[in-house]
Amino acid sequence: MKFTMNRNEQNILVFFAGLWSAIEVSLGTILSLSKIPFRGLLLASIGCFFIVSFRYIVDKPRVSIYLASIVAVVKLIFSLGAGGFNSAVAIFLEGLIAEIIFSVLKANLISSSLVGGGVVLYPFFHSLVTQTLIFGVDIFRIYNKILGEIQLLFGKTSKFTIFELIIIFALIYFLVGCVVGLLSFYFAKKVVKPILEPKTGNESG
Amino acid sequence: MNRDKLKVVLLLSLLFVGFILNNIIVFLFLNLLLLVVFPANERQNLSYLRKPKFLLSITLISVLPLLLSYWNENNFIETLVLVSKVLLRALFVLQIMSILYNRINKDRIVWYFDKIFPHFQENLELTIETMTKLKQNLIENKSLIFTNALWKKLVFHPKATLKNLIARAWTVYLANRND
Repeated sequence: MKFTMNRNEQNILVFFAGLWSAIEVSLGTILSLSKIPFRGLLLASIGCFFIVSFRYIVDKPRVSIYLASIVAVVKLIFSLGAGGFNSAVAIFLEGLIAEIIFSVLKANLISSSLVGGGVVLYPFFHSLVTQTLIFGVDIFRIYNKILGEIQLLFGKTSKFTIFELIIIFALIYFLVGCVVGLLSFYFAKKVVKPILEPKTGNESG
Repeated sequence: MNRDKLKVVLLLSLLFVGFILNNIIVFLFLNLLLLVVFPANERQNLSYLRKPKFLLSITLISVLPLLLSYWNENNFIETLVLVSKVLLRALFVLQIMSILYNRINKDRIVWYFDKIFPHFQENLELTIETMTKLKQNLIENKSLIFTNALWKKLVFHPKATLKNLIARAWTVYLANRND
């Protein structure tokens, strides 16, 4: 069943989608091509800001996934090659994660923080899943081997495995995401809503 | 030069040689696959597989473990089998993924979303229009936006700067919507 949006909400949706798409298509493409480390974390943080802000202003079911779907399709249209498809899937799934959390907990400080954690952690898992799909599970045996052999080369006795590193990185991503989620909620409340409010005329939580 | 430093220098040299050899092999193998396996109309989306960045990442996961296991005299043959298995799988899966991506029908995706979300196609078109206008505005005012002062303000006064940027973008958006 389709949900309804009034004209002002639609205006805000297009504004957020336009702004997020502009960043994804320009900055996102530059970052993807440059292969800068932690580019997923940066882009997901920007995405988190838009998702949380939009949900704070238009607190209706399915609006987060709607916003992410539009940006994902724009990314798909304006990107070249399989890399663009990969990013579009990531944006859509980030929206889905946010939608699930907001549906359960509503738009508030805790849910925004969790959405931040989930959305920012997602690119890390996306990368793991993509690598597993392309290279197979053996890729982790190779990473583990590289790590073990480097430690052996320098005479280190402690065996620090790739799986331990994955857990540490996942925790870091999640914690950074929670902070991004909190900040997004704060900026949505203090900065974004006051600017857009005169034109919206709707209440939100 | 002590033994550890010598080991590192030799390892880096071997890595460099391995990188070149590995790329030549992967490049030849890819071209052979393109030539033999895939028809001409399916090849247009496969060019990125031969780009240096892709080849570099392939090198890191194939040459490095081989060199390290050879250097440490630690199961070299086992590593060689593992790396070959991973490389073959990657080359096959990536080519299949590229071909599948080429066949994605974007119009069908939009049509499907239009059935789920209200006015999806209309909002998508408006979003593309808004994005283009915002980007155009950004290019016209790049001398104002891409200044050191702005980045300093964004770091030290994020709230005020973000407020200015969003208010400006919102004004541009509303002005274009009223046209």
